[in-house]
Amino acid sequence: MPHSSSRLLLIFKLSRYVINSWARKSGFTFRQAVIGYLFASVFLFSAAFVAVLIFLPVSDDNFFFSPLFATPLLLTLFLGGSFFGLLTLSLVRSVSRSFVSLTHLPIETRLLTFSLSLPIIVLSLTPMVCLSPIFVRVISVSFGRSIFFSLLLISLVWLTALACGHSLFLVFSLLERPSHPTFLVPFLSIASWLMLASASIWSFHRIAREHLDSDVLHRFYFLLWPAFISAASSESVVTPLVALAALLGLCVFDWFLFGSPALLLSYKSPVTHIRVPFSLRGRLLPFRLETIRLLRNDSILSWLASAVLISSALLVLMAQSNHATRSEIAPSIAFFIPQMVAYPALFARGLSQRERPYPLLVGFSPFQWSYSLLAAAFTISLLCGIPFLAGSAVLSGQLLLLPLGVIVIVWVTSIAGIIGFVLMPNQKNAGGELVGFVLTLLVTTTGGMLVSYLTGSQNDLLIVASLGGIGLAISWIPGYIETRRWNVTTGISVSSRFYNR
Amino acid sequence: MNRRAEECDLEIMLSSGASPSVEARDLVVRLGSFTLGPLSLSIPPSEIVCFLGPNGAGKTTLLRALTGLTPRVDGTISVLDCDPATRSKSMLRYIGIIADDPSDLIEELTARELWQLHAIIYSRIEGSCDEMLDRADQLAEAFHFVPPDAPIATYSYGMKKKTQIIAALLQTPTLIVADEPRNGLDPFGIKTLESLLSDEAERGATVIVASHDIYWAERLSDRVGVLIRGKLLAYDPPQAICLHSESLAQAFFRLTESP
Repeated sequence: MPHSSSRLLLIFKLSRYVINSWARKSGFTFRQAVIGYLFASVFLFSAAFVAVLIFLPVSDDNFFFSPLFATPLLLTLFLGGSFFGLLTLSLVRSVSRSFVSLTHLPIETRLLTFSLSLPIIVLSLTPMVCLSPIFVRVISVSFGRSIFFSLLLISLVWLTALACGHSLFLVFSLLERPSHPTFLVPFLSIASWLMLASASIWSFHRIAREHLDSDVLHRFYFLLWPAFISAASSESVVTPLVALAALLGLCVFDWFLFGSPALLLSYKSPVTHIRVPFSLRGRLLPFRLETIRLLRNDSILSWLASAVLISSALLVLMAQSNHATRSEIAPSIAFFIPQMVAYPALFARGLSQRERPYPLLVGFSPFQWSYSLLAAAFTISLLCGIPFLAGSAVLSGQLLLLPLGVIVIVWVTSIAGIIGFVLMPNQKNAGGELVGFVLTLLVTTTGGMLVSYLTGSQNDLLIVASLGGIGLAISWIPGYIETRRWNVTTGISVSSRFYNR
Repeated sequence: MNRRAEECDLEIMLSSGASPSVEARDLVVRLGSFTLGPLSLSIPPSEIVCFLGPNGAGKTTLLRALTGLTPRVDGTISVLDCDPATRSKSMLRYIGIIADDPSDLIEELTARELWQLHAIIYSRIEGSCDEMLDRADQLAEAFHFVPPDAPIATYSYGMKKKTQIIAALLQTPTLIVADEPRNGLDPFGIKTLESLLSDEAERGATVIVASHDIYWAERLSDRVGVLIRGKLLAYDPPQAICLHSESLAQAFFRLTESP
């Protein structure tokens, strides 16, 4: 049994090994990755701080400092945190294969699993920590509590949420059998998460209905559950001491979940056995090839299955709402569905080798291949998203939402494609997956806000059309990145110089 | 297709059997701190050349440079009268490449789908897709390999290697570049591979192999290159290399152990 200080050193060294491996798979050095991470964290924290100072001034009539806003904010944190819990544990499982050789060393399996998951824990907690000034400020002023208590409350909500997500994923991992397809665990976990989310929202819904008028509801439409707000939590019975104890308990519980040996043992190949009835013969060979590859990858299938499940739930939610609420939430849903279904573009490049992708070895040009890859990802996203976009358009009576949603898919695909070509996330590069996921979400959302601000327009059509135009205009970038990378591999720029000697 | 590649097309069509399939002059390749060369060599058609050397000697780097997959910093290379770095489609049509790691294949496809992909691509330049697929079936039969109707990711290492070898040979290439082709093959597979490579050389193809098996190299090759720390210490027929030794193995160890 190693000494406690040597255990800490071992955890540190193994975690460093994981980060190094991710950095190299994304084409960066360890130092560049760490500096990039620190820079991004400081930037995000500063932005949150500035947002608090500039955009959230305290005043009696400020809507952002009312329990009506703070309560659904906590609910959102909980639902987002539990979803993030599923995602991070799924990433730990996917990364375990890369380090399976380490299990032959005389290291406790729990210690090893924890060391491998530590970078994922840190990465997944970073956005939450960086954005904490906003959450703390809103909760503190809204409920008239101290900053310390607000911080405790937020940490409690977030850690409980993570623990819920982790527990769901772990339970299904333990129940898994070798004959089950790989995407079953994430799919079942998401389905359970949806049930958890429905139960949470329903409990708020009952209280909120009695307290809210329709005017306030309008201001909540971007949170997707405008009718589920409660003012009830202002009478909190949680004392700081109890909160602190609960927080420590949750930390220990999460440590156990993250360090579960079941994660190391439950890895399976991400290539699915599901047969796609699609032939290579015919026109557009590289497009056909990449479509088949994407549809046979379990990571992408599980992502799409989850997107379909959540989109279905949103449509059910819409169908259950009254007409006025449907009209209010429909634009948000039309923006949210493309955000989910367009992620195959992020993972597509990671399916091939970094320097010598097989399609280029057999003679496709980097540009041709990159465009085919993006087109394949876009087509799959489109086929996945259109039924739900159409459903939301019909339910809300706003048929324009369908083409607008398609344009948003173009926008998200382009951004996800560029990030995917740079980071190349795959099952051995879980850091790339997590960073890519967060980055795509951040860039697409802030891009939308920026365009809205720059055009000074409230017209959704103009904003979305601008985003689509930008998406199309930047779609050449993945091809350019790939061409540069391939030229470095083959030395094409130096060879022409020497050949003509 | 750029102008250089078009010139390559023409040169492949016009190349006569007399000119060397591969020619390198003062070739220098640098990978991080490792430098291969300067080295010069010429490989005529129908010849089997085997490169031997300890790990890290530069065998894979040389093979990659010959196929345009590693940039050179100095010297010239001509492969089938083309600059390999252009990697023109017409040049690739005539080269069968067996890389060292079969896990770089497109693992989402089945073996037959991978062969079909190769056949479709190569038949666009010359030959019939169906004929290439028939040849793939013949090669699979020769290896006693019945490819499972499942993604390559689920295959064993040896099955992946056979899939890779068949994919590289189905278009009857003029030049075969194989990096450690025996790895993972069963004894029957090794025997089949040996006779296949000999048959290909007899047909007129040039075969370049990197291997660690000295005895196999001695039996199979017309010429052996010994690489040590990036330098080509010997490049002659096996008989010439072991002129002052009892066997090629002894000559190899003498070369590698000398300072």
